[in-house]
Amino acid sequence: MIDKRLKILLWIILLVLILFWLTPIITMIITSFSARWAFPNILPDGINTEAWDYVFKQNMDTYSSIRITMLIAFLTILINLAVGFPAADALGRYNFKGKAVTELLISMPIVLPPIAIILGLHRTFLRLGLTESLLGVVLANVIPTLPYMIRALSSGFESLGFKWDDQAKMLGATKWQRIRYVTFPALLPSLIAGSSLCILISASQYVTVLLIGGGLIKTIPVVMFPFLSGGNQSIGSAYGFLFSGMALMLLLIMDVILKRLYGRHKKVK
Amino acid sequence: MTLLKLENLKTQYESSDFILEVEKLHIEENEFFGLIGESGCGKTTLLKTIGGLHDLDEGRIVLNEKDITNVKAERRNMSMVFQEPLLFPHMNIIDNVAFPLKVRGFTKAGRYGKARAALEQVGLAGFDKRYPSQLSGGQQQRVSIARALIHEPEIVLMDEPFSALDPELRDEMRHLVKNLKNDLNITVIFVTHQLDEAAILFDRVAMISDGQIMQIGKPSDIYKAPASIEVAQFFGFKNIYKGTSTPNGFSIKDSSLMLGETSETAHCVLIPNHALSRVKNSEGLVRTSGIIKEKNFVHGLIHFLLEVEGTALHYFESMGGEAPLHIGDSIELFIHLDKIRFFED
Amino acid sequence: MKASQNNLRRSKLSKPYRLLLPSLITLYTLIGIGVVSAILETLKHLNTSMQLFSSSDFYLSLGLSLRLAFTATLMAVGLAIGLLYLLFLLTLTQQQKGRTPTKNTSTIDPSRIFSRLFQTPMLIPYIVSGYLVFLTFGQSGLLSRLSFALGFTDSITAFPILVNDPSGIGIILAFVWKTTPFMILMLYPVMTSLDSKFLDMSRVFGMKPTRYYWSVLLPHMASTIAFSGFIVFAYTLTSFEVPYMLGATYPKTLSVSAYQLYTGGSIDERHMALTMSMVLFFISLGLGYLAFKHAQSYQKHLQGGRNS
Repeated sequence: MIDKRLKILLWIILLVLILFWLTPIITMIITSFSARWAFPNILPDGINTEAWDYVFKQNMDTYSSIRITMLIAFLTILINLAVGFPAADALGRYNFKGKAVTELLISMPIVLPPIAIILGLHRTFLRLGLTESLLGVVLANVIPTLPYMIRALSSGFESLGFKWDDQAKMLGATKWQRIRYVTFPALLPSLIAGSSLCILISASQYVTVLLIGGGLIKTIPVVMFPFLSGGNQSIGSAYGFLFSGMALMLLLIMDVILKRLYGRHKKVK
Repeated sequence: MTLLKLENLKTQYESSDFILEVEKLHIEENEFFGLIGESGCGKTTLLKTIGGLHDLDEGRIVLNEKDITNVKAERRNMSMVFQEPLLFPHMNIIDNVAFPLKVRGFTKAGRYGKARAALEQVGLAGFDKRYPSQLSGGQQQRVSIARALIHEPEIVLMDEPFSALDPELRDEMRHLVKNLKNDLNITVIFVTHQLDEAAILFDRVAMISDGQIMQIGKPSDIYKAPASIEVAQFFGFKNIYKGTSTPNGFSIKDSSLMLGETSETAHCVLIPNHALSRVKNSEGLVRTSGIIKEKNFVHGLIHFLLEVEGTALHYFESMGGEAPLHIGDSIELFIHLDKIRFFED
Repeated sequence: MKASQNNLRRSKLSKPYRLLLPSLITLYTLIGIGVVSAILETLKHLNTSMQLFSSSDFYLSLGLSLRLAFTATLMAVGLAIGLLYLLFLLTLTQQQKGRTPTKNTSTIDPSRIFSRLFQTPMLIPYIVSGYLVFLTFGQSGLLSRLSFALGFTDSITAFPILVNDPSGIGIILAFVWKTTPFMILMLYPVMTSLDSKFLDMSRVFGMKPTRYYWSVLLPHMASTIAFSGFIVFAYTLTSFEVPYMLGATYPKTLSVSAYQLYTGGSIDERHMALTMSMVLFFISLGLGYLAFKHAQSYQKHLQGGRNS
């Protein structure tokens, strides 16, 4: 029914659209490796690693910002796990009155823009002395990330059900033993998926960190931004590429880990 | 010695109005006790209540003279095998089997030694390092059984553990469990909806229907004297008829068959197969005859569906009798009135 | 005996609520602090706060934000629907050759390529995507160079200003660049969740694939389109980073305006900023409610799979 000409046309259109999405990324990568890219030239004058030199050797902030970004993400995940694990249990395995409303409440922060909350939060944090502190930034990061952690974990809980818990109970395992030997290992894939998402979102926060951190807490976006809004294009591209590269690596690592975890469980006889 | 006592038990299923009520149930030590009934009758709920996975609304459970009604499941020193093997996928076989000992604080050497012995008992020696996904369904269930026995629980609960397996496998497993019970002197409470398991396995059995216990007793006793029509039907009896008691005897509805004298309140009669014979070998028999309408083979027996005095009658006979019978033939039957049973419902 | 059993029952019933408490407290204390602060400040300085609603700047910002959000959302939805149509046709061509799309390993499988492809923009944070738009569509960007090379323009300045301009084209492009993949990733599983049996059946009745797409697949995806559409709209309306980077100095979108008033303005202006954040909050709340009304059907499509 679909003849060859139409098929070729389809592929062409798809290709064009793929270009729309890939070209900017490639442009950024190329830009990061150029120093002078005079106007009319389609390609830069030559490969030049000045920008990367700056990013990694000259700007001391780069390394510390990577560390701080990771630290904040890690602490955020810890808090999210502590409060989100039981919540995900409730939403994934139990049926109770008001469940739909609760799901809505938990998901609400996904649509709330940081600006709507951060300004007011900043005022109060100022009085509580939480501004310009790591704790303040971490707390502010919990708002956009916790819903995703809960969603990821609760789908894991839903698949788990109660039967494994029942079995472990009947074999004599106490509550914490069950969590350690049964629930947690079973939830590991969901946990990894949820954590990756949390890292991604937390690391991408800009105005939150800028405002609550007061410019003292410098995560990658904070260090990166001045170069993105004017300033040296190569350096800006280098940072952009760095950040995206790290995100991509995170995704790949998660993929590999998940494959290994699932692989063991589902070996064919 | 009575190991387990359930008294005045009442519990309700959260999601529905279904209520399970057990006034009195005693289970002896070293007994292989069965809970049977149709799907949804409450037998699994009862099992889970005994195990502590389901809470009571009223009543109490006493184990070894100790009230365990409010004791958590993990502290009741029982174990349970479910329909699915539920072997922990991230642990290998020996870790799975040793799990009950691990959570009780046994050392690695201690529990591995016992685990290997347990695996040998279920015929899976050497499977230590494999993972559950590498085993067949039957093998997995055997591991699950080994795991459930390793910590020497007071009672082993089993919830239809073989219904997901192939029929030939089921037989093998039943014998395995029966032998284990005898060798290890354990007490087992076993839930099934399949009748044939009752005959092989159970010392005593309770039949449950709609949340109530209909009858408790040895399988053979129940066969000889089912307490109600429902029990009789579940146990596979076929010749069950409604009728009324008349001065001349019990008259079967829509039939001219008349069966001896009985009380006025009798409304149902059961004619078990052992009440039928083709020869007159004693007194007090009712003589009748029937035409063979259908003939087939069931479990090594010939099954005849006869039309007897206006009603249908099932008759089973072992093979290798005299001249073979065909559809349309008429045969003479004698009914032993002392072996038939009347019921009120 | 009975009392303790009743206690057991009660604690069993309350379990899910107890499990949820830490999260709800954490989340809503933090959100609450943010919102209540803003509300309190607004009420304390009601006069100044209310001035906000009589300032023309506010309405200009509101108008700009709405315009940008509408355009971006409509474009993203339109593009997503169009791209999915193309993908649908492509999977048809694969089917005709007797291959099922999901089991294709040796030849080029559109569904696998494209899911990988569309996950990439998702990884790139909005600030970087804004920068990408700048690099590509800016006056010194790639397209400008291309157009010069092809003779469409004869200098840097001849290339239209698409970035940092009052019409906000750059902002819209950045939004569309990021949100279209999001919508496609949301919609594709729903589209494929409809059993191909329906397609085969429709062919038997002589229905052309195009018709099938418009009258069967699209309605099937309708609630998901609504759900993700509202999320995209809510996001683009209230976004800060992208308009901050790519917007003109005037007018500003609501979020940028609020931020700048708060950090740079006088005390009065700070109060107005807090009022603006309140406005943003309630708008998002409303949009969120609209979005999640359609969420349930979306879940069902994913779980029910074949028949929903």
